[in-house]
Amino acid sequence: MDIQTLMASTVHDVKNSLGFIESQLTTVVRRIDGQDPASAEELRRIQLECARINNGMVHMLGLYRMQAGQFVPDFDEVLVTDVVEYALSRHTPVLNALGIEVTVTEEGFDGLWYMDSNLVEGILSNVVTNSIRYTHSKLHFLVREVDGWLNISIQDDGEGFPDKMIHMLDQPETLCFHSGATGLGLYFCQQIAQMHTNGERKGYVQLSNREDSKGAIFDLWLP
Amino acid sequence: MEFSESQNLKALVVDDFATVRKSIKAMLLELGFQRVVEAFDAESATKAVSNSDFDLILCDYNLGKGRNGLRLLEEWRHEKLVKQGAVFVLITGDTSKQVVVSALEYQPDDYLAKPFTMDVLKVRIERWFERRKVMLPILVQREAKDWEAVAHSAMSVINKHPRYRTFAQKQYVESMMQRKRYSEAENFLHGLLEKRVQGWAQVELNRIAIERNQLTQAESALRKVILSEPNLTDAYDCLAVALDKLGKKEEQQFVIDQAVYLAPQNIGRLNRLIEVAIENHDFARASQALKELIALSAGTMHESIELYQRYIRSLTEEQDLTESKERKREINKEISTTSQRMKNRFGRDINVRLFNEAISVRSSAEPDSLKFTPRLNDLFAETLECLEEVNGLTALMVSSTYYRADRFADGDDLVRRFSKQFEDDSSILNELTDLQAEPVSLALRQQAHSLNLKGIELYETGEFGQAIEFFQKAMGLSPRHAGIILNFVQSYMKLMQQSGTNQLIVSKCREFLDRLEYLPKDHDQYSRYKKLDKRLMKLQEI
Repeated sequence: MDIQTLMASTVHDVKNSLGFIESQLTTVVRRIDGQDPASAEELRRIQLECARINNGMVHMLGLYRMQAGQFVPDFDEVLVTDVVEYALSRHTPVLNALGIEVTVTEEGFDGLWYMDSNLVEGILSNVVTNSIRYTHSKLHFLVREVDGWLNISIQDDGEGFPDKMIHMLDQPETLCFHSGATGLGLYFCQQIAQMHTNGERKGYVQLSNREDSKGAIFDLWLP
Repeated sequence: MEFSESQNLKALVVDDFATVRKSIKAMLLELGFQRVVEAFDAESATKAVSNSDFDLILCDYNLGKGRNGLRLLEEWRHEKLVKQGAVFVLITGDTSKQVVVSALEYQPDDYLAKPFTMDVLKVRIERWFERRKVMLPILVQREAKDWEAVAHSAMSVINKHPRYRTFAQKQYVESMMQRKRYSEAENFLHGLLEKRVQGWAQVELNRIAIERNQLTQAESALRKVILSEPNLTDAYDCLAVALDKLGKKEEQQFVIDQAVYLAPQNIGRLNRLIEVAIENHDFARASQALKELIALSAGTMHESIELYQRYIRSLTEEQDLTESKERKREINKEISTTSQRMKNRFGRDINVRLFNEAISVRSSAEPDSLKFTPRLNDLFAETLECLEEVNGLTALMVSSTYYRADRFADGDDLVRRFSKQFEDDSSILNELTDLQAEPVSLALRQQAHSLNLKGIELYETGEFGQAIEFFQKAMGLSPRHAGIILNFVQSYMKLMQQSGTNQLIVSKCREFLDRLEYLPKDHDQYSRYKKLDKRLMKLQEI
């Protein structure tokens, strides 16, 4: 059996198990929510970790495929807010339970863009998984067109990205295993963004902090 | 059907894991579906869709052994087991749409990555039903091939539902192409491309160029498209059409092969690869692709006796051509396991029995030895008995077996009967004619051909004696080839003009010339044959 089949079937099994854990947790959370809100909250954190494991599996297989030249994006014109809505819908229960307020605004274009919607949804969902951990109470999506680029900007009101994280994008080769976050997810997002090209232009992601240092900003730019 | 009416909706969940099925079923019921049916594999799922109508089908890609989710979709849509308004969603374990992308003619309405939550499902379901509702008129008109109506509906979707604009644009272009309104399609595509470079639109433009016979232009443009979008399988298919028309058969094979690598599940394209490989006499590739095709088709509507027969046939050709002893042995083994598999799968069919018997006689070292006489007699009798049920590939295999065993009269007899039976099937008919003219393997045909060419060269320089030697060798390999026999006889005539008539030689020429009695009147060598026949008769009279 080749390594890809091996990885794909491992991912398949792990995801089935995750799906099972996830649905069991949902049932339990719903049962105890009224009586024991503190435990329910803890279980939701566990659910969030499930989502992170899931992302990790996706990144592993995806990056392997990219290296093997077998990663096949499929571009189509889609309504950008649909993609945002799909990504958010993966996290509705946790967002609601933690009282995180989500807003989406769209600025001045017809709302359609050319992209691999599944992959972009993956990027956005990834960002949301992380933001939930660090934000205070808000998550704001801004969808707009700037000089012929699509910009999806996600802002939270947490502490902002640590400097190390922001610099990680400058040296994508240095995955760091000492800090909690290896940057693998970020690296994956960057790769996906770069697969989106239009003529000479290539997509990218950008991390920054708000000037008033009241939150982090994740920017996805697609040509 | 709107999702808001979901009280009356029925769903089918197909997954090999019971826990997954249960959890999806629970979600759907909570979302308001009236009935949710579960199926655990391809068989039970097909039974379920045959027995009742579903509005939504959630089907896992990986169903363990047997058919996968995509093959089910293809089969159900093809056999119209599901209604056109039904939404089919493919659930994939590893998020990657790419595993399955452009694998088939029938695309799922959406892909959903496992695991997903109820909220994900809720948001998506509303979208799916809206999408099907918007698309339905176009799908119905497409099926009725009412292309004018398709164009009209597509335009209306483009104006009213920006969300489904690309889908509608593609439909619009196709409707124009179907009606051969190339200039309109072209203008429309140029309009799109001015706004943004899109691979599919470039491919369609080049499809128009091919229709207009601007082949080299299309070739170079499509190569550029592939460079910038190496995963656009449509571009490879279109390029292959251009290369075919340009007569660049080997490049055509290479390009289709690349697309097969990208989307190994596409059965139609695999079939095209096999066809081109056979035309190119690349039987090694044809055999390998047929083997892949058999693996893909197992248990699906694509599995057939003909498929196994094509594989065995390609193997026999490859065996004659390959130099490698090891591969020859491997092929023997492969032929016998494939015959056995075909027998296990379709044992009752007469074609299986006749074909396998012919193969079994052929693969022995001496098919012309006496020990096969009774078996060949029986095979002949049985073939005549069930003549009408015999398919083209069986006909060719059985007939060629008699030539191989040097039973030319029986071979000719079968070819004559089959030619009548397959008079409407030009490809089988042509192969039967070729077989009769040159009832030997392709490898021998090729060798005979090159000997013949050398003989012709010598003949043209007046070296008739030496030319005769080459023609004779060529006849040894391909004893009934009209061109070679006539060349041989003609060279002897020339020689006798110089050195006088020799009755021994005349009767030898007569013997060979009589091999051509089978030649039909419309054969391109027929008049030459008649002329030489007349001249030889004169020499005999002297």
